Amino acid sequence: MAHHVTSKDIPAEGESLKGSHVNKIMLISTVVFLVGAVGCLLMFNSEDHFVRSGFSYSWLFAFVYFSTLSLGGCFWVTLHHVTNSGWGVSVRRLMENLGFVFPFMALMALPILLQPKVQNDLFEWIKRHREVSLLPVKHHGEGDHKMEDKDKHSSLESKELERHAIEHVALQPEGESHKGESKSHGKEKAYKDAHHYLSDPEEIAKHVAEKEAKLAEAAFIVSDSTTSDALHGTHDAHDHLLYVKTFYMTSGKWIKRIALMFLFLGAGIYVMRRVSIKQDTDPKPTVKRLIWNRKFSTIVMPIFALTVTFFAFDFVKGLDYKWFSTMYGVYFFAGCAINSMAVLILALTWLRSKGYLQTVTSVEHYHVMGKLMHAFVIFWAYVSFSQFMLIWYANITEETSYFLLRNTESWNTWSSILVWMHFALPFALMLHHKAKKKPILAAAAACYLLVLHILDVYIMIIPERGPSLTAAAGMDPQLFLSHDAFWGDILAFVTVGAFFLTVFLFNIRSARLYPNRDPRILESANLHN
Amino acid sequence: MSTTAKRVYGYLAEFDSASALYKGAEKVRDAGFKKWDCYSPYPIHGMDDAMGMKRSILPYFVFFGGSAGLLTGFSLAFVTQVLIYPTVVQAKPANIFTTAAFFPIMFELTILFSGFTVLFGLLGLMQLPRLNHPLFASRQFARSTDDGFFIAVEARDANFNPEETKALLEDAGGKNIELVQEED
Repeated sequence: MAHHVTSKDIPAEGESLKGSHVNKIMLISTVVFLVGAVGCLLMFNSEDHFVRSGFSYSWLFAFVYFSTLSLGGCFWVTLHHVTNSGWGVSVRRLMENLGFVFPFMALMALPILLQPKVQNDLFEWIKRHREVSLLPVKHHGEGDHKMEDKDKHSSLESKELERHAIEHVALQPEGESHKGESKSHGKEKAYKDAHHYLSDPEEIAKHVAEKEAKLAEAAFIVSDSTTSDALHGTHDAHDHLLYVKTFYMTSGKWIKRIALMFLFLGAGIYVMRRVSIKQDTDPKPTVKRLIWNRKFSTIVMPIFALTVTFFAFDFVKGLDYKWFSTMYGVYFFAGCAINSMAVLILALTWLRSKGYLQTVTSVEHYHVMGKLMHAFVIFWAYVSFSQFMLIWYANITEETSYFLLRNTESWNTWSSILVWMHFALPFALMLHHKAKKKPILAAAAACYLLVLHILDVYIMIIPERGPSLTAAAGMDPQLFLSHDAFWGDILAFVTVGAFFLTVFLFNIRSARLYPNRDPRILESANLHN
Repeated sequence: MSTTAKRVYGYLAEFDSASALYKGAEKVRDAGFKKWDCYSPYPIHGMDDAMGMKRSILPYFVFFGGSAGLLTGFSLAFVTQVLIYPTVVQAKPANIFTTAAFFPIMFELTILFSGFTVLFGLLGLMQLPRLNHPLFASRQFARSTDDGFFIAVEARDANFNPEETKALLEDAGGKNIELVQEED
């Protein structure tokens, strides 16, 4: 066992990050963010409809990826307090700094929250709400059978096509291709003829422009009562599905929920971090703040649970409003927990390599953090498999759409890669205690899991892009857009990533690196497991 | 009083506190003893290092136990429900891709076999259960479950020497040093 750390070893003023160690990195990340932001603005305002709308998905992907990292930071701080833990006091400030990025992620959500076009691209239900709000309200009995031509057009184009888009695309490659090929082809042809798919680029552009001009007339937030009346008024089975969901899904409620998430969890992490930082300079540090934070964290924990669940529902699950899975929030949370721990391990490694935190952290901290990361890799697999198996087994149309789409063509390869590389491989490699205890190996595992998390979030969001956007443009639904939307994903990822890094480093720099006057800093420094 | 010669188990020395035991253990460790042990009413953090104990090999047993459980679960389900008697539920195919249905049992058997390996591996490594222990012959040793901290150095150890070992224990802070003899 290494030298026993006593209070003499811990400087009274703690440790702070020297500007020379961080300023250059922060400058670079800020510049990258600013340049990227200009690029993203250009993408958001692109003339080409598919480039612009495809980029909405890229942005959502990047925003969700980095939000999960900061959400996990909030989780670890709250968990640390609520369980009255002693082991991690010396890395608690890192958790607080990571969690405190979350309120700033609200800025990255603004393009999604404030841009009606982006919302229309991403969330078919919001678009449908806007569409129906423009239809003349029909009352019971009077308009049932005499649908106007105009209405018919809009209802056929936007409802039917989009409705069937995902199933249709997903079923194409496998769907009865062996038995009765000609029959199914005939069927398909009849289906296509009936729906007048557009294929001429000019026609598509015209159609899209008309649609966008029309949608622009709709209110930014369609009121709850208008929404439900209009949806009810169309007397359409699919609109009825949205009608019965109006208790939850209206754009007003959606925006309010998201605002509350950022407000409450943001306030929670801000207060816990503030109280912790106050302790650093208190000449008479007592257990008062520790106990206060412990009590406060019991309030923050349920707020966190609600936030992470509805964050997943409102930003990711809402991409396909027909689909539902009660496990989705937990699945999303598992990703948060693993990868925020990975970020913490990397941040700790970076700080230790610069000579900080040497007295208060040791390989034992790596061991605990590695164990938690490993445990959550198993938890992730457990939850995602539970979700998959129940849906696969029950085989209900509304539920299978998610996996059907993600197991179609090349997405199937990526989904399989996720199973083997996100669970099987890290599980086996991290079993040995040295893989968690050796800083270099733990940091390598953390990097690896962060890369796999990119794939995980990518598969959550991007498969919706092709079918949704092509169907919305009146085309035969395609799995992928014709242009290479992948570069947009990278641009958004780098931009939001640079923002995340800047805020995280700013947080690290703005406070001491560990709570040097916490009553249990010695317990943590002498951690042994 | 019996006059027959009894087998000597070793020295038993009492220590005042957990920290005294810890420091004493470091000295005994440094003297190169292998067959000795510490006894305390509660677990003491860092004692493994103070005693110079190596990591247990139990995790390796558990790894293979768990793997055996995984394979058992898979072959049990696969052989019975795919090879011997293909079970078709809801028109789902019965082939290697049906494995998803077998995961729960594979998972459960992995846990069960790991658990068994932990339990029986631990008992085997500790040579338990046993009916008696030579140290029970010592009256003061009963306090090791209450408020006594002890180190016992076995006579079987190659470094054992009646005088030197006693001196070492005294030097390490041991009190009430007693030569424990096995009961008949």
